[in-house]
Amino acid sequence: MAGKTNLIILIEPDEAVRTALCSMLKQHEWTVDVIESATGLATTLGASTPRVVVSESSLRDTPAAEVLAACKAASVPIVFLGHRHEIQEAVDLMRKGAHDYLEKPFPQARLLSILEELRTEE
Amino acid sequence: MSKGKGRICIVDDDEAVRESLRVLLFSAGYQSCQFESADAFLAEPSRPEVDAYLLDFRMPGTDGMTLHKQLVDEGCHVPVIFITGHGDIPLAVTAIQRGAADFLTKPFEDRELLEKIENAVRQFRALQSELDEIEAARVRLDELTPRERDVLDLIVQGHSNKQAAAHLNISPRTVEIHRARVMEKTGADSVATLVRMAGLLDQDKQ
Repeated sequence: MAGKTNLIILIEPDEAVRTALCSMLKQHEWTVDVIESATGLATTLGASTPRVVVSESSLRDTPAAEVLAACKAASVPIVFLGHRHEIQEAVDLMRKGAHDYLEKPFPQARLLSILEELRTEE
Repeated sequence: MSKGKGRICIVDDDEAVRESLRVLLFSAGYQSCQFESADAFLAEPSRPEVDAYLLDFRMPGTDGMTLHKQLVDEGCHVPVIFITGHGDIPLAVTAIQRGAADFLTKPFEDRELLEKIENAVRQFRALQSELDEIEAARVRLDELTPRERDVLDLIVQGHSNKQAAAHLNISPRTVEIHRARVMEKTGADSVATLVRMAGLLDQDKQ
C-alpha cells in the first residue's frame, strides 16, 4: 500500500527543537518533512502520504484543534508535543482523536517508541 | 441507563468531596450514588444502573485507573470521568487512550464539571439507544428463514420483485410472499426501514 512510508511531517516553530528532533528521527530511519507553520498542512497532506504528523501544540497561526482536524480528514495519526499545565488541552485533543500527547521535555525514547509502533502497525 | 436527567456514580475516598459532588449534582437535577473506595464499589454484588461515573484517581486500595479497566473489561459502556487533584498529562492521556470520557483537574468550576457530565450522559444515551436498536434489529432478522434472508438482501440492494425472482430463480409471486413475510416478521413499515435495519447490523459487524 502506498501509505506505508517512513515519512513524518514535523511541525515545530522552535528551530533548536526542530533541528534536534530532525536529526534524531533521521538517525532512526525516518524521512522528515519539516513545515514551520500549519497553514499549508492540508495541502501537504494531500500531496504526500506520511505515516504520522508530529506537531507542537501551540502554534502561532493555527489552533491545535485545526491541525488535528486536518490530520483526521486525511486519516493520518498525529502526536502532539505540548506543555506542562496544558492538561485540559491535552485531554481535549485526545478526546477529539489525537494519537498521543507528550509533555515537553520528553525522553527521546518515548517519542521513538510511539512512532515505531505506528510504523509497524498494519 | 436511568430515567430523568441521569444518575451518576461517585467513587472518591474523600467524604467532603463526595458530599459536595452529591449536592452539586442534586441541584443540577441529577441523582447520584456514592462509594468511598473502588474496593467498596467492586464488593457490591451488581453494578449500579447509572449514566456516568465520576472516579477519583488516587484512592487507598484499588485506584481509579484499575477500576476503569475493570469496568471496560466487563463490557461496560457507561462513560467514566476522572477527577484528580494532581494534574498529570501522561496520566490524563493514558486514561483517554483507555477509553475514559473525560478528565478534570481540581480545583474546577462547578459549571465545568456539569458540562462534562451533560456531554457524557448525552453521548452515552445516544450510543445506548443505537445499541438497543441494533439488538432489536438483530432479534427480528434472526427470525427470518434463509430464503427470506436472501429476499431481504436483494430488496435492500434495491432490486425489484422481478429482479429478485430472476436472481433466486423463483417466481415473482413467491418473492412477493417472502417479501410480505419479511415485512411482517421485522415489523418494518417500508423498504427504507428494512434498509436501515440491515445497515445497522452491517455496521455492527465491522
